Amino acid sequence: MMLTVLIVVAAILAAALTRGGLTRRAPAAMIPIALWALATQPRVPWPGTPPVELRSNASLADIETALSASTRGAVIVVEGDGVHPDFLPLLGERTVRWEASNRHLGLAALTWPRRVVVGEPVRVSGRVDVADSIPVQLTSPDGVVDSTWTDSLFTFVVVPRAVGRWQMQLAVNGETTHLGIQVVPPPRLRVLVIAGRPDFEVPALVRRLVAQDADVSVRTQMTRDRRRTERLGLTPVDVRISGEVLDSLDLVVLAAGGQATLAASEQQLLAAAVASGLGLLHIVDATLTAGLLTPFPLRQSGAEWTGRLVLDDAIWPGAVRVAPLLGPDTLAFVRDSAGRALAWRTTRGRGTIAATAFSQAHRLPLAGHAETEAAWWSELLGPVLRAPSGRWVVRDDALVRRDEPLMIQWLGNPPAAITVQEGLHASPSRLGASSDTSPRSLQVWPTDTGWMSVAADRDTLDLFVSPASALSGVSAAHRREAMRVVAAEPSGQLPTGRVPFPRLVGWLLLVAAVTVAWRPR
Amino acid sequence: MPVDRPLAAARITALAQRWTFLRLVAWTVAAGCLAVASWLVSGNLPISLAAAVLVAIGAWSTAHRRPITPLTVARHLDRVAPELEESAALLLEPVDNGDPLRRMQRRRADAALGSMASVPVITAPATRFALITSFACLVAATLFTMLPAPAPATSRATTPTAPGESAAPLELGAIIVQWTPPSYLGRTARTTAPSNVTVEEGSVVQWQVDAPRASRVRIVDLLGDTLVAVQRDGHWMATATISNTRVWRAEALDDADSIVRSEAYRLSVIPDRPPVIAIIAPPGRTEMEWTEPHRVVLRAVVSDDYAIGSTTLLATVAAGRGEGVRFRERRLSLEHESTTRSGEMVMSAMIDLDALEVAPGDEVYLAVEASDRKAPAPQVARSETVFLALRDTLDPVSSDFGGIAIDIEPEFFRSQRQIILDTEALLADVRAGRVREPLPRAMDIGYDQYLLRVRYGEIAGQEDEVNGADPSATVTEADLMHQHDTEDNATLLAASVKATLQSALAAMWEAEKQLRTGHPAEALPHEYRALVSLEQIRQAQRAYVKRIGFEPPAIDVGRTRLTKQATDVAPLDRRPADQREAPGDALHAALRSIDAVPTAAYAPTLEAAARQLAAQAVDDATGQHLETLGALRRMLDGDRSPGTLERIRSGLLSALPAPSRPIVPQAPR
Repeated sequence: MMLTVLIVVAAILAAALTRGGLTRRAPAAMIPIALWALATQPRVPWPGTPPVELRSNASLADIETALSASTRGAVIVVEGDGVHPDFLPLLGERTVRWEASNRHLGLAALTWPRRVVVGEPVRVSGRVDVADSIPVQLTSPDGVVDSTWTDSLFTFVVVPRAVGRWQMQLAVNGETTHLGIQVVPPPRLRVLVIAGRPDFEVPALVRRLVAQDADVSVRTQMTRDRRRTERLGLTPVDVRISGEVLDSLDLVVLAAGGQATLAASEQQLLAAAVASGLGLLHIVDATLTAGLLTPFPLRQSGAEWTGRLVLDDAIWPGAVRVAPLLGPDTLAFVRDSAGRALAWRTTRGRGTIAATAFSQAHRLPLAGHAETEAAWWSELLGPVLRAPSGRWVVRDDALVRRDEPLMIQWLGNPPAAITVQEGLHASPSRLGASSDTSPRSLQVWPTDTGWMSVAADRDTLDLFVSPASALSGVSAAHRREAMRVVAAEPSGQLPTGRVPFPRLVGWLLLVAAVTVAWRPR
Repeated sequence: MPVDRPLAAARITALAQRWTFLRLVAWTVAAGCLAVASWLVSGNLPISLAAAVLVAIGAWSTAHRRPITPLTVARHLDRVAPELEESAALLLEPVDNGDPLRRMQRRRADAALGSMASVPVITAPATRFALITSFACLVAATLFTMLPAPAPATSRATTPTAPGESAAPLELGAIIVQWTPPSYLGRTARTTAPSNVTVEEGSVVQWQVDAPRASRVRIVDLLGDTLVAVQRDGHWMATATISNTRVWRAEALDDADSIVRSEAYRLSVIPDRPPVIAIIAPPGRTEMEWTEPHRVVLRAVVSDDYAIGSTTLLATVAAGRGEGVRFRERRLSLEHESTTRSGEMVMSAMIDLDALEVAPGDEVYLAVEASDRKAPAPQVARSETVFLALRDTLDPVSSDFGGIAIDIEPEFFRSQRQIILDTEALLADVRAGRVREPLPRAMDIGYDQYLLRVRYGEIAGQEDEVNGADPSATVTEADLMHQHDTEDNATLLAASVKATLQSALAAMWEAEKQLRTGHPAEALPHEYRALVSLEQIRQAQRAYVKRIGFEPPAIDVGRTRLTKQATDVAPLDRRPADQREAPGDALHAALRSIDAVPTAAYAPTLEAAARQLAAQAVDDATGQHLETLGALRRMLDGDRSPGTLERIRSGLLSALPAPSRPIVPQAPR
């Protein structure tokens, strides 16, 4: 607005101060106006320019050909479900009109983890866009078939039984799609358990960890000056707390008054290790007061409820006797079947501190709930463990199809070398640039269907590449979503704002107009 | 020239003989054709001979019913030769026989016969039918033998592709399984193809294997046992008595030790289970007043998977008190009341308690025993025990004691009742005015109470206070004080019994105090309280006896919760991870090997997986593991087709034990 006023004032001044009659005043006044008009050219096509049509799911070559053949200012008409989201930046600032399709997509969304640990439940969720209910069936490699009828959402849960490549078949209304999952062995954990006294819960935890081939050491304070240590695993953990030892651990558990056995220096070392990524779990049996290792106190209070972990209330009616003073960074992450919080966690630096007031998990197998006990330790310890350094991450909703770009991320320090292997063909690759804090990305472009692998220094990611025609409904839904952002208006056009006019340019235009007007004859 | 009459008759006779011979030849040809056809189809000589004999019988029957005689020929000539003018029979008559007209006609017939160059042969329909049919059979049998031989329907033999093998490979033909159920089941023997055979426990199973070129045949149980077959009547036979489910396959070997295996099959066994008995009346424990009718109806449902042999009602009467508890056991008969639709027998018995000679306070334990008809020894099952308790005249209080034996003399217990009787008599006398000064008698009763209390005190571990005690001595305050000793801890009584005994002692003490101070009426409630406590101890003693000799009542879940055996808790395995043996290791190894490059090195791995699968297949009613076993065998024989690999992969995955949920680091938050 100010800029417009300035331009108008400049034009009036130029006209008023110009000597020589209308023949000189009018051009002088028109100069800034014309420059202003040129600088703020609206994004509207030149009359008579033919539009450029892009068919649905146009390839990169199609887009580049169409753009190069069209004149600047031509309207880009995108038909159907739109183009690939990664290709949209190619359209630049062209005017885009989207003639959206309203056809039913069938399978419109599908998410499943691309990598799990053997025994870890896999949740395959999806959404169908149909007029009426259709059958959906998931067949696992072990012959287990799960099916349902749905007209909106569906979810299947399967548990891979063996390490390797787990290839499932999803049939949606008779159309079959292969879903691949890389099943990896459980990580070898290193855990130190510090207990203030002998306790039933500690052996239950240790048994669970050792069954997963973890290296576990238990330090139990027996009397004031006596400790009992127990070391299990191939490379047992040293029970003496030092910075080096703590850096080698994934988790430290303070159970049965274990925190009280720590010297002040040990607590400081532990806090520093947490800040650098170590996980710390308190299993408390009394009110937990705030301190160096307990950033959030626990006391009796109310809490919000959502069901997650199915536990038998009759086994431990007094389990939920504490609830958190929820801070802004504290999260109740394990709840019982009634939604009552059983464990809370917060982050400190790169590590996590968690606490639970429930110390009766060892009773679960005795009451016939062995699976619940396994779920309890998995839910409790999983988010607390030190995050592995250097690994590939793929979004659960990523589409891995032939001749289509795929973005995967690397968490951790950049690897020295990356090899992408498709069949017998291997090719080197490298990560894209990134700041130090955000994950680095790698764009892979599968050229063949089947399994491919992306290997870095310490991690190899196996991906199943579907044919280009697979999951077409999901792809169309992704393109529609992206097109809705680009063509936010119902008419399907890009925002048609004007180019901002720089103040300096306006001033220079004014000076130029005055100079022309007062040019000596 | 006319034919001479004897000559014409001779010609007709010759025709009859020749045609008889031709018919014999025709029947012989028919018999030969049928015999050859039968041999081609069956390959069995007796069957072929039987067919020939059948045709011979037909020939004989035809010859017997329709013999070819000169007269038959003459009639045939009359039919086929009109020029004979129906007079061929005249040619067989004597020359000088007949009137002139007959002679003239005979000459005309002679002339006609003499002019005939040939005579059409007589044909019988039966002969024509036999010839055509037998010839058709021969043609059909010849075509049948020219068809390709069908594969054996009962077994799919797999032949190893050993190099340098002879042109006639070792083959495994049809396999037939015949089993004879145990005789007590009264079922007949059955024969079937080897797949999905289910036999009764104890059946005698006979395998019949056709392997003509084999030198040895064996039936291999995939869990380890091997049954060697013997050759009999051209078949390989093996017999075994089966008592549990097996997974087996047949193997044929030749002299060069080449081996051919059949598919793996499951031989399921239906176990003969013992009878199942449920007492539906009376309930688990019934307490009866002595005044109630002494008749109780017991009703039980007895069932068995095959048949019930016999049923018996066991009635045990527990009588007496203290250590004098005696048991009498009676065996009573049960009557068959009805049979339910599902075949269960409802048995009942009217129990006359008087016939059992019960007394107040006695208990009767009832249980039903049933046996089936299994041979050689029947299986006997026994029901749970139901209790009938007849209340004593003194209402016993139910006890919570958990089975503790105490060593108490019975007379001790009887004394407390006597003290009560004495006290009640004293009070009655006082009320009736017969006693004006009750103190001396009350003091005497109090002394008896004192003695009884001391005796119980000994049991409970208290000090002996009897030393020199004089009933007439003045009662001091110390005499009325409780002895807070701890010696009772030295006894072996349970805490609950001890507490009850202490309660009885305290009641005795109060009663003694009231008696010795001349207040028998106030003493009476305490005396009763002491008696009730002692009754409770007696009931505890009875409970102990029951638990030794009889089934206890249902477990009190409230007291035993969370104390069951921890079957879901695996013991802590302190061995390093690389030294542990996890279930399914062989299957995991096989899964890895089938994805490897084709090599013969995976054979031991697959063999190990097959053994583990076979062990699991025994309990797999779906037969899925059997299919995987077959696919594994095909792969070991060199079949690496994608379908086979996929079948193996799927089967091995489904056979893997469900993995425990892992502890996994989560994605960064």
